[in-house]
Amino acid sequence: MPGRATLAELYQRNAPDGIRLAFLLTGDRELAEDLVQEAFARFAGRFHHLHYPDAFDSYLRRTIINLSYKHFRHKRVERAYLDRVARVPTDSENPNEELDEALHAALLRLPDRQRAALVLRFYEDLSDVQSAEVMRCPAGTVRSLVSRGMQTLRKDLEGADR
Amino acid sequence: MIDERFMREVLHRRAESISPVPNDPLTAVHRARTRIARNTLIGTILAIGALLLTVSGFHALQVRNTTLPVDHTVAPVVTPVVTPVTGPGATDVSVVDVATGEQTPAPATLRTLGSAHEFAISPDEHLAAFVAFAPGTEDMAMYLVDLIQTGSEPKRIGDDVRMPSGGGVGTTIGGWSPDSTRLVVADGQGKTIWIVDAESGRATKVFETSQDVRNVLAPVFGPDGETVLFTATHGAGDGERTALWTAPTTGGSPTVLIDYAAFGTYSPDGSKIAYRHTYPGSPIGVAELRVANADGTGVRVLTDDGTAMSPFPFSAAQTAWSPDGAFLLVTPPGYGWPNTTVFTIVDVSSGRELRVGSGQSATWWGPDSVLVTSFGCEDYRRC
Repeated sequence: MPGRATLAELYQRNAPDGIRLAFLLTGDRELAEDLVQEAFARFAGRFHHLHYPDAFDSYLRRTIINLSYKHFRHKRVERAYLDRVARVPTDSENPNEELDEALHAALLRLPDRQRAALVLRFYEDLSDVQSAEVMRCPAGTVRSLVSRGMQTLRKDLEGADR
Repeated sequence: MIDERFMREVLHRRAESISPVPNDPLTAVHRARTRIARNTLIGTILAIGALLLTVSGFHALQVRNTTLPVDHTVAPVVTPVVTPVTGPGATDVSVVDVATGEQTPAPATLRTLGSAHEFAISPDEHLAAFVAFAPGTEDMAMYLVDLIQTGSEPKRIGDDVRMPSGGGVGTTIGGWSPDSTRLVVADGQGKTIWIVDAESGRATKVFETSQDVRNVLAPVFGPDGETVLFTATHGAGDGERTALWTAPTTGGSPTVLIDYAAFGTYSPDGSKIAYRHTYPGSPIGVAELRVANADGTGVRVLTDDGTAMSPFPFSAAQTAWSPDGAFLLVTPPGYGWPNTTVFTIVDVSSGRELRVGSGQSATWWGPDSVLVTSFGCEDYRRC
């Protein structure tokens, strides 16, 4: 059996990446932290019964995706978050900030599964098969979700300059 | 132009824009525990409500069971058990008609047993073995319930078999002997395989792990009842892997029957074994469902969509053969607890899949129906 890390060690190792993933999926830093905390809370109770803790990052990624789905099922909440994201003042020196935010906002308007497929592909750099494993669907479905998501983003941001 | 490179650049910039990400584990663990405490409190309130509903709705349960079609019941005679083993019911057990896909609640004898899971129905359909919390404790224990005798109460068995404290997912009631008199089980630590006598409840050790054979899981009796087939790890470093092993029920050294394999089950006539193919680094198995002859030869791949098995519960990885040996009942890979899913029936001759019923694990196939278990809350140890 692989060596068992402590929950704290796993948190240190995985939480930052988990929060970034959740942020891309939700567009809300605070919510992202909450989702990752929630994911860890789900593992904390049964951590010692995980037979294969080496696969923890995979479990965590899948749990974050599922929690983000669950979150966005509440459309009213989703709209509130989008409104809030739109109101956040920017003080960054990133020259692409405006376009980045526009794209992120457009990403957040996509259906949950399209958004997840795009983030797994272009941020997590997962292959179609790896994404399919996380999303529990055939690899062909992932390809289709990515393609449709990109199409919608292009249409949505038509006219925006790079 | 929004292309792939642009997407990568933007998403990485966005992700980096929230750095530094806090990674104080103590705060995280504290917050996690706070959430658990909150969830436990909510769960307790809901559980009290459920208990009140159970008490007031008992008559309704009896009425509902009398309306179940006879063909859909697990046992010929069904008598509800009034006292749950572990308090408020958490596990939802249902019976699915394999011909129509119609899903109905299981007889109350099974449904009112609290946190019961890992059901194993005896070949003569007389007894059901299961794992549940011991009353008033956070320790798991094994129980037997008589499905035929009127007013039967669950009986605790196998006291010597060590179960995980605070619950756990590693315990496996593997299966019954062909004559329905004995159960073979793996303990909660994956260290020992035991045979439990159904009549006396007494457990006898069959096999203990060593440096060479580790992490035993999912034992089942061989067709003759004289051998045990089980999953265990062997090898070291990058070569560490799981295999299907056989050992005599009277003790003695186990031997590898099929390497890179897990969760084997014999066909009803004992001529074939269905199992999950495994890789080093993927010890609980992948989607690839295989069938081999009982001697390990003639391996054939039935299904493979490339996804990994869910580790919870382990019983979700096991398959159940139809009584005629023509089909296998499979929980789709990547699912299992805490997600409810639609399970699959696979045609052994063609590999064709038919999706019927929903639940978290489906582990028993009777004459015309299958038994499906769903856990009633997200953390079934705390239900």
